[in-house]
Amino acid sequence: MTHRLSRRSLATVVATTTAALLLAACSTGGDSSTDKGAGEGPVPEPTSPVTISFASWVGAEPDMKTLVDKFQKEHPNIKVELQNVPAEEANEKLTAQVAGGNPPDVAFIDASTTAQFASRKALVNLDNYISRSDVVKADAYVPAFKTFVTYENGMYGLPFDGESTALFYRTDLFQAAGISAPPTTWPEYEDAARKLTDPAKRTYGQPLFAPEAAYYWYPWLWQAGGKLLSEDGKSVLFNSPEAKTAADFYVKLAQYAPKDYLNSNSYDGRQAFANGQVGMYVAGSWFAGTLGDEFPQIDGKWSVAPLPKGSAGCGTTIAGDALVLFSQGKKTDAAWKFIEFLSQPDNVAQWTYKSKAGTTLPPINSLLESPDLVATKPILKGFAEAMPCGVSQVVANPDWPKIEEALNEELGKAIYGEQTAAQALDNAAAEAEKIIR
Amino acid sequence: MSGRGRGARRGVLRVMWRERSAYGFLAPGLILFSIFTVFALLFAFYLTFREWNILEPEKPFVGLQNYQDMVQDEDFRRSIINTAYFTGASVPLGMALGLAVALLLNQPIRGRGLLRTLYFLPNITPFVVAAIIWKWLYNGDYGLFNFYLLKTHLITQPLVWLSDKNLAMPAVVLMSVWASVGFSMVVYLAALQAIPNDLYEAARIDGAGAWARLRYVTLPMLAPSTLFLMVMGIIGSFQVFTQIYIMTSGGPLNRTTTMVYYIYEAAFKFYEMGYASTLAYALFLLLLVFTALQLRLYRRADL
Repeated sequence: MTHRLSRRSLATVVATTTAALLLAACSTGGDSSTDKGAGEGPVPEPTSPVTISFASWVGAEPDMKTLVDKFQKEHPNIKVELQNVPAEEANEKLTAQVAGGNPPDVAFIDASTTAQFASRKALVNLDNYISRSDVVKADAYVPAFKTFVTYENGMYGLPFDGESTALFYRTDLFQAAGISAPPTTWPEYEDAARKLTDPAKRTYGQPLFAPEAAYYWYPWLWQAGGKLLSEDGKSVLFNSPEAKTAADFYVKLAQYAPKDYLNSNSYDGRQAFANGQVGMYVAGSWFAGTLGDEFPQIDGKWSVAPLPKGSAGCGTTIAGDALVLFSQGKKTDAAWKFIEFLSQPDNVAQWTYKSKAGTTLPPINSLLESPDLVATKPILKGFAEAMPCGVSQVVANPDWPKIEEALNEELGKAIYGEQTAAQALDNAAAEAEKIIR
Repeated sequence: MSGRGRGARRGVLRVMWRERSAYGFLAPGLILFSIFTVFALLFAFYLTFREWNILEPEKPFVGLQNYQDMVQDEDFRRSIINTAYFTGASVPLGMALGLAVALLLNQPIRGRGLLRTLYFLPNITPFVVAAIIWKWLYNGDYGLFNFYLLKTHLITQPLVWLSDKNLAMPAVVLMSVWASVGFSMVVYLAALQAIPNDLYEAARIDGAGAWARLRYVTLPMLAPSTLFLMVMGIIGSFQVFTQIYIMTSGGPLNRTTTMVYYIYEAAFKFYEMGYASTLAYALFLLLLVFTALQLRLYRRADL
């Protein structure tokens, strides 16, 4: 694989450029994405009936239906037409729609893909609209989420929901092992993992997944003060001394991991946590929903804490969704009215922590800090506390998936004891440099 | 073209017209075959000279780049070695066991029909289900294999089979052998029953013992079945995918990444359809060479 990556990355750049040129050619005369929404005062209400399309994978959820109904009642001239796409196909479908010159007016997308679409000139720069709005304030958002939707200093999306990565732990196993509280530092974490590990009883500290080694290493990297790539995405930073410290600690955790799951993944691994094979599990808040749905038998036997702090303080990986407008759309004002409505704090609260089944967090500071949140969903406490430490590891680089695959492969070898953690990072960095170049 | 050729062709056309209803009956199958096999084959060949990520309509021409990449791709070489390992272990083992079982079940023993059914059962079990069950059998902490191996003191430490970089491939081979024994058995049984009894009688009169009868009568008479099983087995195991996908995902550390799994990854993980098509054609070529070689070997052996 080593040899063909560099050529492939070049081809990808070429392909992306071609796509961008085609898009530019498709969009109608002079209507550049930065002009949209220019003007003063509140965006006017349409005078005749307008239908806007809204693409998402959440259109069938009762909370979304309620919000859409409420919006249509308040704005009788705007009708919202829901287009549903399964989450895992959304990105591909939107790419195809943009390429075909027929995107929806509004879309609910994975926030980390915003920059990708913005860089292809597919999205409306929302700065003009935000400056005219009484509801949406750019600095009300949690900084890491704002980073997700910012491209070349412009905001191209409104963060709508989010989740952070935190530490799930089995209270019953902690008690049995004589651990009084969830670990707050690296040494405490290792100590807890050691105490939980007893191969004779088939219990372990936490699972480690070689095929997903990179993703679960990132939080340790942030906590040690390391970075993946430089701001411009041109140089590799993940083999710095800080990163090597983090990788070394992370790889050593393999001795407290059930060997059966070393070649598994975080989804299959949930069973290890559910049947008490591991006492700790690092995961996003989606995992809380999964545990509640699939494993009610361990209700009350687990809890959530923020990830432990490293030498550079706290750090966690975050993810989320954002609302965006497409630059090829012709009903941009009405579309803005809709996402402005959804972004009202009470509606964001309704969509996130107040939702019946949901376990996501609001990406707005004031909501995140409100006592209302913990009162409504106690299980979200650990995640909400971790949110300010969120690092958006968004790498707006089309080659990132391949770099991550190299990291997975090299860190995987380290987990299997074929090389040291430092060697793993150096090897992955060498490959990443070839890919970027 | 000579007049005679044209005349012959007109004859063919006339026959075709006369038997046109046959083509009507053949049409559904032919159309499906053309679209899903012939067209797919040609399209894949076209893609080997292109770069295509399946999402965008553009398929830029890249000349022989895909072929060049393939020749230098160490991971692909690794996948060929893994495939050869899998084939070299699972095909002979499955055939030998199948023959042994067939020889046993060809004897007049009680419950023969039931036993034959039992041995054939894995063959008709949905493969995905079997693979998931075997995944649990191989589990290090809770698997049945480890339970009995530990209980009988054959091992002192639990083995983690599928997560062990050196055991994963043998574990997959074992499961595949289990699944294929029934088929070899049925084929060999049929062939055994077709061997005329007078051959054995003659051999016995000549003083041949049980071993000599097996070696000089049974095995040569089974040779066509052996060739058939070997060709089918090699073709099948070169395309091994399901058990890899379910049980190991090509891991640990790519030790079980076989050719088809690698092609799948290129196509549906990295969206490199052009490169994946090139790899698929390489596999096709390998299979073609192998099959031709085997057929020739057997022809020379005068069978």
